[in-house]
Amino acid sequence: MLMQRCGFCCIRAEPKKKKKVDPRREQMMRERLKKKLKKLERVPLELIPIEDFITPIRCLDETRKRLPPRLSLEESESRALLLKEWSQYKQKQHMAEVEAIEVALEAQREALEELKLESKELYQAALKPDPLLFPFTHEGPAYTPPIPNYEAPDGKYNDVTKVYTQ
Amino acid sequence: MKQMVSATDTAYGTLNVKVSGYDMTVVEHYSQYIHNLCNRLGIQVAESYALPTKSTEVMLMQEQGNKMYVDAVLKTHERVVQLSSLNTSLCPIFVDVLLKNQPEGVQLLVKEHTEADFQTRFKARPELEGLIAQINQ
Repeated sequence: MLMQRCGFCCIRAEPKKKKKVDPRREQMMRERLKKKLKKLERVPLELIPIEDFITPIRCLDETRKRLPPRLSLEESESRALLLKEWSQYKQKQHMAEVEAIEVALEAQREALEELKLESKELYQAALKPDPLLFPFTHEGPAYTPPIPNYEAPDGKYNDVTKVYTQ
Repeated sequence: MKQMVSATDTAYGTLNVKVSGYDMTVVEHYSQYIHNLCNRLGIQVAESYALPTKSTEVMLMQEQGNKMYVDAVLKTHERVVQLSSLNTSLCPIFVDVLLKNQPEGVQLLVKEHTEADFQTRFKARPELEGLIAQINQ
């Protein structure tokens, strides 16, 4: 009888700690975390505010406001004439650009038509998008060429962009 | 977010035309020009937005010591024009016009739109990421 009791106690005591308590606790923890995750996920994402579109407060200072200067008649007339000349010049530039685009498109269309008559396979290959094209970068032109034998001062760049957290 | 279009046999998928530079007015005007050009050529523009401004501190070495001092703070502005699709035949002419009209000090970058690009516009959520890391442990 005693031996049997001992065996019964031993079998009961150890497995209780291993099998039931730990998995239960772990399950409870996981459920709590999942509930928290669901609550957080429901909140919609917020866009980072862009500094460019927020006017700095010192620009809204009323004391710095000035009235526009008064112009004489000749000055305002000459300005109006200059504006007209400038708009005519820009319009000519714009029309020239539009025409150049149209000419280029027409030439491309004709070339593709000819290619279609030559061979259909090459025509299909010509219309396929180029996978090696992207990403494509290009730097804008510079006013002056690079200075020869220029020694740049020692230093480094630090990124100090403000990090926003929700 | 609008649906991302994938490339077909005759057109590219969703493309991001990113304009960046130090001068905000030039960058803005150039991005407006690109938008108008797309409207004129019949290219569909999905979105046109601005990415957050990046501030960079330029540190220079002092002449007489080993210390660095802050020389200037440069702000890089970025504007993105997102095109939903671009015909392969129209692409070279479009890029050619873009390059011809690129102003000084402005960098042009054309690449495909990815989910990661979309996520950079939003605020970081450290709690959410911490929870996900804990659950996956």
